[in-house]
Amino acid sequence: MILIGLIIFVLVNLTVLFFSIRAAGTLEDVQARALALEQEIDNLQSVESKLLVFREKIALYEAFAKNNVPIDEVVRQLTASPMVYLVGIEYQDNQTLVAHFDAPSEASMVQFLRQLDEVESLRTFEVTDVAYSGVSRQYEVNIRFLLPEQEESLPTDVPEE
Amino acid sequence: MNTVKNFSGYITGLVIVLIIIAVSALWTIPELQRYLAINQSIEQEEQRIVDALVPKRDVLLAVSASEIDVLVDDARTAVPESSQPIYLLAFLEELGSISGVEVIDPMYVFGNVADAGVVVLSASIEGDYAGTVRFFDNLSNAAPVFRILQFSFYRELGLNTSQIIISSPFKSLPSSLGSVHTPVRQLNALERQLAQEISQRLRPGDSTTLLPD
Repeated sequence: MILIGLIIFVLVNLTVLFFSIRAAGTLEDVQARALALEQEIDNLQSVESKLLVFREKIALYEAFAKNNVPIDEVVRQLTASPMVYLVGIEYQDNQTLVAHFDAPSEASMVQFLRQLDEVESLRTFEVTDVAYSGVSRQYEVNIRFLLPEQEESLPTDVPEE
Repeated sequence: MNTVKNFSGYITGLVIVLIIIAVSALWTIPELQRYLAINQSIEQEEQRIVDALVPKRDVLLAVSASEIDVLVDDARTAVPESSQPIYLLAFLEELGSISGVEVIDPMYVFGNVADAGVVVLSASIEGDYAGTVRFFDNLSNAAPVFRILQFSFYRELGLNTSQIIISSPFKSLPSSLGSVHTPVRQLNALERQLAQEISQRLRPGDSTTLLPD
C-alpha cells in the first residue's frame, strides 16, 4: 500500500517536473520571439520617428490652414461686379471684414448684394450688415467669415504690444 | 523482539509519509507555483506579441520609407523647426516678385511670439489689381503656411495698396521620438489629405505626389 502511494507520489512529481521544464522552454521561445520583434521594430525606429514628426507638424498645419481667411476669394468676389466699385477692405482678425463700396444707386448696391448672396463661395463668408454713409457717400458692408472652430493647439499669434 | 519487528513496519511507513510531506512542501508545491507563474508569463508575453508588437511591426513595415521621407520633408517646409523670420521675409518678397507686385517694408514684428510657436510679419503691397489678387492667391497657397492676422486693401486711381500682418507657425522636433513600447498607427485619410494639400502647395500641378490609400 505504502509502495503504491510512493510510486504515485514519484510519478506526480515527475509529471510536475516535466511540465515545468516544458513551460520554461516555451517561455524562452516566446521571449525570443518577442525580442526578435522588438529588434525588428527597433530597426524601423527611423520610420516611427518620421511618422511622429510628420503628425506633429501636420496637426499645426491643419490648425493654421483651417483658420486662415480666404482673402483672395473675398477680394475676387467683391470686385467681380461692374455695378459697384470696391474702394477698400479692412480685416482685423476678429473674423469680420468691413468693405467700402461706391455705388451709383441704392438699387445697384442691392442687386450686387443679391448676386453676392447667390455665390457659392458664400459658404465661407456671409454679409452681416450693410450701412450707407452720407458723408463719404459709400456703402459699408460687414462680412463675417465662417471658419471652423479654432483648434486648441493653435498658438496665440497676436503679438503683444 | 517481535514487538520491535511489529513497530519497524509502522516506523518505516511513518518515515515515508514524512518524506512525502517534506518533499511536497519543499519541492512539489513551489515547483507547481513556479509552473503556474511561467504559464502566466507565457500568456502575457504572447498577448503582448499579438496585441502590440506584431501590429506595430506591420504598421511600420507598411510605411514606405521613400514616401514618409517626402511627407516629412514637405511637412517640415510647411511648418519649420524654428523661427526663420529672415527666410520668411525673403519668401514674402519672392511671392511679390512672382505675382508682379511690390512688397514694401516687409518686417518681422517683434513680440513675445517665439514662445507661442509663430513668426509674425508685416508688409505693404502695391501693384495692379490682377497682381494683387495673384499675390493673395499665392500667399494662401504658400508653404510655409501663412495665416492672415490683419489685412487692408484699398483701390485708388488704378493703384491697389494693401497692408498685411501675417503669421507663420514653427514647431521644434519632439523631444521623444517613440520607443518599442509606444503604439503607432498607420496614416489616416485626413493626414493623407493634408499631406497632399501641402504637396500641392509646394509642387502645384504635380499629380505624381498623390498618395495611395
